[in-house]
Amino acid sequence: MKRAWFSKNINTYEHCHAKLIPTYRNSIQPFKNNFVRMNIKTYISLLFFTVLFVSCERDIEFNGEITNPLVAVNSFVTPDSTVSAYISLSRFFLQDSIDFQSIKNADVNLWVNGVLKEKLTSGNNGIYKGTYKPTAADQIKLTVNVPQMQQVSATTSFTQAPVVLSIDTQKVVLSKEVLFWNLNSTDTLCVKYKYKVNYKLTFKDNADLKNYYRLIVKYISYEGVWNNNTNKVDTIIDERTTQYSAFDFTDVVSGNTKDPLSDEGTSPVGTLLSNVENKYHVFSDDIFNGKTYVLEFSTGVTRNVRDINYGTLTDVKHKVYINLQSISKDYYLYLKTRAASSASNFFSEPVKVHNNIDGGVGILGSYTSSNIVEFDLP
Amino acid sequence: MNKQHFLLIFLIFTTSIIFAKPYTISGYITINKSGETLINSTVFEKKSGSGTVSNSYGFYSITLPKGNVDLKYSYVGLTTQSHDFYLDKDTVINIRLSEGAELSEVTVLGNSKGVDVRSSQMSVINIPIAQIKTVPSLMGENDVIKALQLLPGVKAGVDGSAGMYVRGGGPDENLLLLDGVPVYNVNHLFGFFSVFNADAIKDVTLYKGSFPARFGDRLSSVVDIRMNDGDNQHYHGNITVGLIASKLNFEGPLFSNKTTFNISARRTYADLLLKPFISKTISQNNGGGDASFAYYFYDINAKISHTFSDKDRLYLSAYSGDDVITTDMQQYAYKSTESSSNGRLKMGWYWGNVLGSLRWNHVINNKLFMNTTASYTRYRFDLSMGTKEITKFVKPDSTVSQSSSMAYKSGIEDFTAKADFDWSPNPNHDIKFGANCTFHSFQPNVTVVQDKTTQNTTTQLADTTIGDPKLYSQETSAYFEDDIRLGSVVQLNAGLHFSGFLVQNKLYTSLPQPRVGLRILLSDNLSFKAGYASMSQYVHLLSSSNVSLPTDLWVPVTKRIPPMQSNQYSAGIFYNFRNIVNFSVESYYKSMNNLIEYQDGASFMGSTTGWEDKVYVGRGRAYGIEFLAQKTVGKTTGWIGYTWSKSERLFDRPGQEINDGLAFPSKYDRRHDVSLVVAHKFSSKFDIGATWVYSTGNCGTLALQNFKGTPIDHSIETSSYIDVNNPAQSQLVQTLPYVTSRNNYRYNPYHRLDVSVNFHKQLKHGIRTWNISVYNAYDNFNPFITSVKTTYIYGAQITAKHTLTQLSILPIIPSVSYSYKF
Repeated sequence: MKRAWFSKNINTYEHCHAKLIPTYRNSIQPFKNNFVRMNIKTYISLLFFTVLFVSCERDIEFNGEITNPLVAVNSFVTPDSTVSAYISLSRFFLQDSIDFQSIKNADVNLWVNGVLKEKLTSGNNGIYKGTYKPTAADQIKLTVNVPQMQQVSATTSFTQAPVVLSIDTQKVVLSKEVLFWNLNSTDTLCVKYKYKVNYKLTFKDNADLKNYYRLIVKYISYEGVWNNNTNKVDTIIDERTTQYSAFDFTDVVSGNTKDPLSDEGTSPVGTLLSNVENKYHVFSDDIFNGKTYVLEFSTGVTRNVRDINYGTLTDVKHKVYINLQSISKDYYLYLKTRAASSASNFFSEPVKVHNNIDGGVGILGSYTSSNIVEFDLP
Repeated sequence: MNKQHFLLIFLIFTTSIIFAKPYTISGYITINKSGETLINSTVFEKKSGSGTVSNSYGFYSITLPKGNVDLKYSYVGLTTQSHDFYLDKDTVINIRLSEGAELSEVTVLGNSKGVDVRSSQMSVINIPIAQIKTVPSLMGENDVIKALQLLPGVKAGVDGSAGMYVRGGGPDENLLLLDGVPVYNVNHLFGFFSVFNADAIKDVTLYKGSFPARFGDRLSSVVDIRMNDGDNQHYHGNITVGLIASKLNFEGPLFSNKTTFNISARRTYADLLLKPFISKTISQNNGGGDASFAYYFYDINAKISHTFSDKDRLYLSAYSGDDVITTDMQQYAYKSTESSSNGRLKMGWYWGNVLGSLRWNHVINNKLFMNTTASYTRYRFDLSMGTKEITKFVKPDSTVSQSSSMAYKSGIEDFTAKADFDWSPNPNHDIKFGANCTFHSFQPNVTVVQDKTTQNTTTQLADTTIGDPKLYSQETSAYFEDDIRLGSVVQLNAGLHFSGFLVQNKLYTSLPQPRVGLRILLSDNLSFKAGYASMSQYVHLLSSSNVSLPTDLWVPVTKRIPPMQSNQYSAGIFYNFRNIVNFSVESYYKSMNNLIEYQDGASFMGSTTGWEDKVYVGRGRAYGIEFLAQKTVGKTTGWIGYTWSKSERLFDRPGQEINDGLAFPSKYDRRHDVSLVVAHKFSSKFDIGATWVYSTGNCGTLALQNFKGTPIDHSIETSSYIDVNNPAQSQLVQTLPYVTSRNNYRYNPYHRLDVSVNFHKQLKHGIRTWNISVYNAYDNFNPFITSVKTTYIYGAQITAKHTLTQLSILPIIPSVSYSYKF
C-alpha cells in the first residue's frame, strides 16, 4: 500500500536542540536529491559543456596494433580453504562483446613450496577447484596452460593473520524522522533512525614485515513481521539483509579522508566534496609498522521501525561482523587500482590495474583473516 | 659549483672592471609620437661591436672607451637612428624612435642586425604586440598566450586550451609576469581565452631556456608581459565590438605630459544577449519553473606612470579580472488545499585575479639603474550554493522556512617586495643584481555550511566550517648576473640565483643555481650560442584534468613533497639574412627532478585534503630541436617554426612506481610541431593574416585489452554491472582494463588553419577597422577527448558494440569585429 506521506524531521546534531519541523518531502524529493547529490565533478562537467558552443562526436579508426588475447586468472587463496581459480581470455577492447570467454580446457596446476601438489579440476564457466588446503607457511604457485597459448603463472605466499585486540563502538543518532499518514494525522507509519557508529579497532602489527590490510565490516539486519492486530512483531526473519558496509575511514592510514559530513545526506557540501576512493577498505602499515594501532572508522546505519510502506516488516536488531585481513602486496595493489579503475570520471583515463600473472593478466591474491568479531549493535 | 668556479668568475668580473677606462652613454628610448618607453630596443656601437638593449623600463646604459662612437638605436617596426660623435665624457641621450619616414635629422638605416645573432641570450623570443595582433584568433579575440603557442618549443594542450607546455615541462612550470607580478590563473572560460587583453599590452617576451639569473621560481618558462604606460602627448583610444566581447582602451597624459594613464577594459556579453533563450531552455528542462543562468568574464587593466625627472619615475599598475557563473532556479512548487511550498536553488561561482604593483625607477647614476617594486597578487575561487524551501500551512496557519547553504573558497595571495639593479660599469660588463622577498598565503580550501530552519518566530541554526587552515610561506631569492664581452667574438652571460622557501617550519634552500649563456660570433650575421640553467620551483598546481578549471589549486611544497628542480642545456646557431629574416636552430636537453604525478586513478577535484597521498614523486627528461625563421619587417611578416621533441617521465622510486617504474611519455609528448604564421599588408586599407598549425597527436592511455575480474568477496561492487536480464551473469561480469603502459597510444594529429582579413578606413577622428576571422577554416575535426563508447544491443542475447570516438569542440567558427581607434 503506497500513500502520500508526510514526515517530521527531528535533527539531533550535537549542537542542535531537537525540534519538530514538518515539511513537504514527497514529489520534490527525487529531483532535489538528484541535484544535490551530483558531486562537484558532475557540476564541472555540466558547466563545461554548457559553455561549449559547439561540439561534435564521431567514430574514428583505431590506428594502433590489434593485440592478441591474454590468459586471465582470478584466484584468491587463504589458509585452510581449498584453492580455486577462474580462467578466461581477455578480449580486444573494440571486440563486440559484453562477456569474456571462459576457458574450460586449461591445465591448472597448483604448486606448493615448489612441488606440484595437484591439478585443479575444471568445473563450469572456467572455474577450477582443488582439494588441497594450504597452510599459512605455504608458498603457492599456479601455472595455467591453455591450448595454443603461452603458459602463464603466478606466485604468492601468506602473511601472518592479524589479531584484533579490541573494538570500541560509539553510536550517535544523526536524525530521527517520523512518517505520518498525513499532516494532521498522529498515526505513525514509520520511524526512520539514522545512526553513525564510530569504531576503534585495536590490533598489533607485525614489525618484521611490510603489512597490507583489508577491513571488512558486514551488517546483518534482523527484521520482524509486524502484526497490525496485535501491534507486535510476530516472526523474526533471520539474516533478512546482509550489508557490506561502504564505510568511512576517519583514519589517516587509509589515505581516504572523506568529508565526514557527507553521511548526513541533506547537506550539499557533503555530496559535493565526497571522494570515496577506498572502495575495498585497504591500507598499509606505513605509519604504524610494528606497533599496536587503533584504527578508527565509522559507518552510517539506517533503521526503519514499523514501515508499513514497504510491507509489514520492521527492524528488530543489527548485528555487526568485523574481519581484519592481512593481504598480500599484489592483492593490495590490485584492489587499490581496481577501485581507482571503477571510479573513473569524465576527465580520467583508464587505470593500470595491478597484474601479477606472468605472461597473462589478472591476480593471484592471498589473505589471512583475523579472529572474526561479531556483536549486536547497541 | 665549487670554490674554483667562484674564484674564476670573480676574477673575470673584477679584472675587466678595474682596468677599463670608460665613459657611459645612457638614457631612455621611447616612441616619438607617444613617449611610450621601448623594451629590448637595440643599442649597437659599430666600431667596437659593443651593444646592449634597453631594459623593461626603456632605460639603457652603454659604457664605451673614449673616442669616436657610431651608435645605432633600433626597434622592430620603427626607423633606426644613428648617432656618430666623439665620446669624451659621460653622456645622456634620450632617444625617440619614429615610425616610417618622419625623421629628418637622423639617418635612416633600416633595422639593425638581429638582436638574436648578437645577444648572449638564447631560447628567448620577443614578439611585438603589433605582431600578436595580426595573428588570427578564436572569435577575433587577440590572445597573447595563443600566439606564444605558435612558437617552436611551446605546445598547446588540448584544442582551444590556453595551457602552455614549454620544452616538455608541465603547465604549472611557467612563470607569467604582468608588469613583473606573477599571474596565477591566466585563463578565462576554462582556457579558451587568456586573461591578457592585447589592447593593454606593450611587449611580450618568452624565455624557454638559458634563463637569466634574475628569473627563478619556475622550471620551464618565463613569460614577461609589460603593460602600456600611456601616451604622454595626446589622448588616444580604441573601442572594439566583437561577437563575444567588447573592449575599451583609453590612454593619454594626466594633468601634464609627466603623468600618463592607460586603462583597458573588456567584458563578454553573451549572458546579456542570450539571457532570454538560456532561461527558456533551462526552464523547459526544469519542468516550467523559472530559471536563469549567466556566464561572463571581464578584466580591467590600469596603469599610471609619472616622471619626476630623468632620474625618477613611478609606475602604478593594476589588474582585476573575474569569471562569473550564476544560476537561480525554482526547484519545485507545490500547492494544495492544506499547504503550499516552493524551493529555490541559487549558485554563484567567482574566480579571478587581482594584481597591483607600485614601482619606482631611479637612475642612481648613468651606470646604475634601480627599480624597486612592491606588489600584490591574488587568485581566488569562490563557490556559493544554497537552497531555500518555504512551506505555508493552512491549518494551523504557519510558515516553515528551511535553507541550507555552502560556500567554498580557495586561493593564493602574495605580497612581494623586491629591488633590481642594472649596472654597466665598463664596456665589457652589463651587470644585473637584486633580491626578492615574497610572503605567500595559500588557502587550500575552506567550506562553510549553514543550515537554518525557521518556523514562525523560532529559528534554528547550524553552522559548520571544514577545510584546511591557511598555509603561510616565505620565499626569498637573490641573483647576480653579468653580461660579459670577451672581445668582439665571445660574449658570456653568467649568473647565480639563490632561493629559499620556508614552509611548515621547514626551510628549503636551493644550492646556488648557476646560469650561463655563451655567444660566439662567427661572422656579422652568424653566431653560435650555448646555455645552461638550473632552476627550482616551490609551488605546484593541483589540476584535475587536461583543461584549465577554476578548482585547480596552487599548493606549496611540503615536508614530504620536495621542490622541483631542473637542469637545462641548450645550444644553437643563429643567422640573420640581410636584415630581413632571422633564422635559428636550437637544441635542448632538460632533466627534471621531484616532479609530481597522480597515482593511478587518483584525481583531485577542489579538495587538497590528503593531496600528498595522491601523488608520487619522480623525474623526467625532455629533449628536442627547434627551427625558427622569423621575419619582422616589411609588408609580409611572420614566422615558420618547427619542433622535433621528446618528453618522458620516470617514476621509479621505491613505493612510488608509476608504470611499473618504467619510463613513459609525458602527456604532451609530441614528436612534430609545425606552425606557420603570415601577415601581409597590401595597403593601409587592407591586410590579411593566416596561421596554420600541425602537430603529432597527443598521447593517451588506452586499454587495448579488457579482462574479467571476478567480484571481490565482502564488498559492494558498484561498477560496470551490465543491466541484463540474467542477474547471475550480470553479477559476474566485471570488465577491467588491461593497460600495458601509461600514455601508450597516440591520438590523431592536430591541424588547423585560421585566417583573418582587416579592412581599415580613415574617418574624421580616427581609423575604423572591420576584422573578419575564420577559426579552423577548413573545419578539421581535431581531437579534444578520445574515448571508447559502448552501445548495448538488446535482443535474444545482449551484445555490445565498442567504438573509438573522438570529441571535437571547435569546428569552423567565423567571427566579425568592429574597432575604432582614435
